[in-house]
Amino acid sequence: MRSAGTLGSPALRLIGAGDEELARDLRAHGLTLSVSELRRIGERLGRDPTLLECYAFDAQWSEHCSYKSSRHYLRRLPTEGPSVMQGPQEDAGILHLGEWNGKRYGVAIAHESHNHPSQVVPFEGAATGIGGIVRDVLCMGARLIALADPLRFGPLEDAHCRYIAQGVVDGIGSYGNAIGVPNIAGDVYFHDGFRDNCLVNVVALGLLSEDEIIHSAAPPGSEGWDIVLVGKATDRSGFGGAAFSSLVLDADDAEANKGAVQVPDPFLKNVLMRASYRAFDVVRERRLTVGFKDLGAGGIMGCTAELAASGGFGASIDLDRCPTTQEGLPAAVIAVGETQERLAWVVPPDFTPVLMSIYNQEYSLPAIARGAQAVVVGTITREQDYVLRRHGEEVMRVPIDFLTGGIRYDRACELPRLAASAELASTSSAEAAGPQFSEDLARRVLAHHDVCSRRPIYERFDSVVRGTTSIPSGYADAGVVVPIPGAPLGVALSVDHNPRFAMVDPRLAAEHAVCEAIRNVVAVGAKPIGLTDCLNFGDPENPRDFGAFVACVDGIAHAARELGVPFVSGNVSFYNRSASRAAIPPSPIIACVGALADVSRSATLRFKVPGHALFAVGGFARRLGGSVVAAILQLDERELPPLDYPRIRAEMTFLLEAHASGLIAAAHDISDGGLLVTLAEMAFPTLEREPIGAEIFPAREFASFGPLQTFFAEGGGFVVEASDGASFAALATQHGLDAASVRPIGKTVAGSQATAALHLAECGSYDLAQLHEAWSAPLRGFYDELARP
Amino acid sequence: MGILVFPGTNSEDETLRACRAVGLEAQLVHWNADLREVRAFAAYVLPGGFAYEDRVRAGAIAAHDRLMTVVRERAAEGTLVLGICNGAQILLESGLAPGLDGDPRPQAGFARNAPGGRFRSTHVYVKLAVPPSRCALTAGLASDAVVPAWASHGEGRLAASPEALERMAREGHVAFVYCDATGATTPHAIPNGSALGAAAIVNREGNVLAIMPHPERDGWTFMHHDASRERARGDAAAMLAPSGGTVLFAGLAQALG
Amino acid sequence: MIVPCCVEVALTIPDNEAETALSTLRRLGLDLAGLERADVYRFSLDAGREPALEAALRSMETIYNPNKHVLRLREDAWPAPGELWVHEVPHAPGAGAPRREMRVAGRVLEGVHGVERFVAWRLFGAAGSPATAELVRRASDCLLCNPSFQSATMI
Repeated sequence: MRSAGTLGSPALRLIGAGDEELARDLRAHGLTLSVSELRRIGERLGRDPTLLECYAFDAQWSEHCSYKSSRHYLRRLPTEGPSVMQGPQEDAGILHLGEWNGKRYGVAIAHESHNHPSQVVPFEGAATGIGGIVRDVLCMGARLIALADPLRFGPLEDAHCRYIAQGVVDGIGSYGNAIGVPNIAGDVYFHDGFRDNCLVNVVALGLLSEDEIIHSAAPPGSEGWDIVLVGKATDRSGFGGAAFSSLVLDADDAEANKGAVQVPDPFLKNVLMRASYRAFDVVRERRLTVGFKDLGAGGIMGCTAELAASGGFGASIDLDRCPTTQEGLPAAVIAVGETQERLAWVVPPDFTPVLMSIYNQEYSLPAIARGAQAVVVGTITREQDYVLRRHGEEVMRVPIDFLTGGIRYDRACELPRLAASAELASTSSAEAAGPQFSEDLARRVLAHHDVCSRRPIYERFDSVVRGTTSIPSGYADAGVVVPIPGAPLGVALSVDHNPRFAMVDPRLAAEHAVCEAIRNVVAVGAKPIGLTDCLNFGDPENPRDFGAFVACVDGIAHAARELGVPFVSGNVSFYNRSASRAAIPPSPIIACVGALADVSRSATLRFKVPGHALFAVGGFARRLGGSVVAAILQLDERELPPLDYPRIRAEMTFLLEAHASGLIAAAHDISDGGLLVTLAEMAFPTLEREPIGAEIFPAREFASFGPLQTFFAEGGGFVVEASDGASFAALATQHGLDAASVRPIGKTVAGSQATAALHLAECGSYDLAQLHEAWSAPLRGFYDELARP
Repeated sequence: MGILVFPGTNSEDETLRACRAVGLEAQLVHWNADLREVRAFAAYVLPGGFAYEDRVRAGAIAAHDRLMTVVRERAAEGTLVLGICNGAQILLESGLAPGLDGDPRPQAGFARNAPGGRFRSTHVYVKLAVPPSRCALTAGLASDAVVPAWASHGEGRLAASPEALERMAREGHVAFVYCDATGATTPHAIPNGSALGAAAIVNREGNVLAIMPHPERDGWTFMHHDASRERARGDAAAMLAPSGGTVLFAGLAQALG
Repeated sequence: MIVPCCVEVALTIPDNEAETALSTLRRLGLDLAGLERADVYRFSLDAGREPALEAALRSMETIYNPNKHVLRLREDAWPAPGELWVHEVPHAPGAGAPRREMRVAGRVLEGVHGVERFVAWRLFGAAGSPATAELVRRASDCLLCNPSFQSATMI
């Protein structure tokens, strides 16, 4: 047996050491590897692993990198379809957008979480979350075109939750605004379950043509090619990040987690992106096949090992050649530290000087940030080992497939137990002699933190930079960009998942999330072409938490299959739980991309013209489970609105055709708060126009339930302002949709700032100015006076 | 004409498109370009972004950039300079606007938005508040012309000493003010607490214009959310046509002949 | 009695802004060995409440996060030698005036009657010692303060 001593780095002594002793050693070194994982490494290597090797395996075998608990279940997701140009094998998936000037264009999409870092350092955590997702899309050879942020916070009444929410929003803005990528979609929920563990998910979209796709792999025949590291010099920041994101957060540990703070530098990233765009052009001109990948978890080691392994090669890296901000940085920090703003290329040696001069001269990286540059750090090898050298000596040598192949666990799983049908029968409380519709209730629903205007938050994000935004945040259910100058092709993006629903029925809530994300895209007139998921769950080692995960994966897989939209990218984030170890509400957050063949056929959510007919398409439900009104009235409702997939499919197909025929002036989905909120949001004044009111028929004429369910149930579906009501109804009939699916509910009516109102027949008339104030006010005080931007 | 790109600039592409949409010959000029070539341009646009990440103060570091030495010289010769958003901040930090008494030091600045002091991205309208001929770039506009734009900034509140503000108002340095969709200048229309409701500042000679909101971000019909978008429904060519904010770039083209 | 009480919050992670400011000042001809930056909050406080204020600011984490900041109470309420405090002139008449109570995250900061916020730049001369008043003034004039809406304080 060879001694690890020859590897020039202290080793963890396995032989003769007891499990308890090893566990102590692991903890002492801040390693999250289990003792059995450590022994497995020793057995395969046939020697004691060096400490550096332990850090490398620690990163590569973390949940974050290896999906060791989840991979098996993720195979259940549908990942194929006519729009899929690249499925979920790399940092981002690619969806077919359309053709223009003889080129086939794709949209690259990636979806990640940065939950744990954001809980500890909200500003930096959220900012580096954007930085990371941007690199995931960039390294596909794509130009960044849009961002979206699904956010989940604890209640704002709690001072610390408030601090986190403010810091996260500021951090996202500071980074996304500076790099110049429009933030066009997102959602925000406030829930007790996120008090100790916020969720900060990020979605990024990029544009590329088919001939521009770059893979995150050493290309065939690349033996002997250069590995070129570009970006920030390695520093002490972010060491232990991958292990850290798999760690449970504990209030007492916050101080200890300090070393893992990743420091964002959007200024450098702005330049790095532009230099990389230039490099893409040159690579394409020269018809080169190269590899490009971002540095994330596991730093230089993680990125270069995966680049090499994906091509079936090994790699040899000289740590001495990696730029650092200070002398004497330990080899392990250089190798696996997660300093931000770095990427790595695999290129033929004769191209290396060209690439280096783009970054180092043309875009003068060294002048942008201390030590930033492009530099050759290693070589792709035929030998199937991953080797690191420091001061001329090998400090790591492991079989590369063992390092990057990860491991797999079959976790115990206890599926969520739902209320039994016997219990349910007695719980339709709202129907009996329950609460009644009231004006006060309408106002309370509009002012609920999950319903009220998000403007104070999304205004912090630049939604129009790049001059391609057609529908910015707040104007419709999905954001829309028109990314190819001169082309009518539009890309729609939406995100969704409702934690209130998840507390009632995690699996059905997951299905609802898929339906609503798709519905949001349909509402603007875009054809849904692909989905991503960020699966935020509790402890995979806890059978109940893991059971919720499994149930939700099955739920989103089922919904996506039923609606015929594939998943092309995603992420799993485990260990989201409170100090008391309670898991967060199971949160499979879904993003949906839609393609608009002609942006002139898109519609926003605001009413356009008085006198137009209004229709509800789908959307009525008897069940109030998970609804805002149930939360406000503390109703014991244990059943979510059901999903009728054939009908949902038919409604969506019909609406897309109605959009294409120019029959839809405005459309808005019925979600949080229900029909009343949908109507109010459509009627509210905008910067461009005065409010437009609506006259709604008596509820009994179009709904089969009482006013409470009619106006506050959250059954999904849409409200449509039809520019031609008769043709809209006729088209619905052609699609075989009966009156239960497409119902006339009233019409838009003229008003002014002073007089516009929602007239709800037997439920009274509501002054829009007052409703608007109730809806606009709650988040105005989002920021504290002292909080520093 | 040259569109100057500093490290951290982020609106160069749409600014270039807006210039080209009105027939201007424009190109991007990077921060490390040869200064002799930079000197040759007939006009300069400083686009939006976060030059040097707005470190120290928005526009403060870029105001000392080597490209700005050229802009300073050329502006003194009467060359047209348009600064948008961060470009406007740089022009105020470099003293080129409002340029009271030719002082090379800043006589005004764009301070943190008020209230709240935070970045804000919102649609706005601005109205020409000087006679069109006062500024070379607005000479082709109608009196009281209303231009749609997006305010996307954290530091857009015009601030200066009471004396400087009084002079700027009296001597016609406030080229555009914020207004609502009808052109009414209500306090509610000001997105950032800007003194005098100012959205844009012109220098004494009328060849340097510093405008905070982005006209190029509402410069094509597909970006609009008013009746013009509805009129273009179903007509892709109309939807993709320049309109609205591009009028300011047309003014630049007209001034250059 | 109401007294001034200064709380300084500085980054423990790399400060990109200070680094850029330093390189720009050097390019403008100032002979500086180093430059540090901190936020200084000058509270108007009921005398004797300093420890309570510090404890409150540490616990509520609105201006201070232990993962990236150090917080300290300063001995005096004015800049030390080599320091330049830059303050934004209040935008509206009456802003920054004393008020009855100050709330942060819904909690009342007991005994606080007002607060002014400064960016404190700490300049080091060629020898590594605090920069001379002349050097500090030049740094203020050429970069660190825009006098049209900021005021600079030094000793």
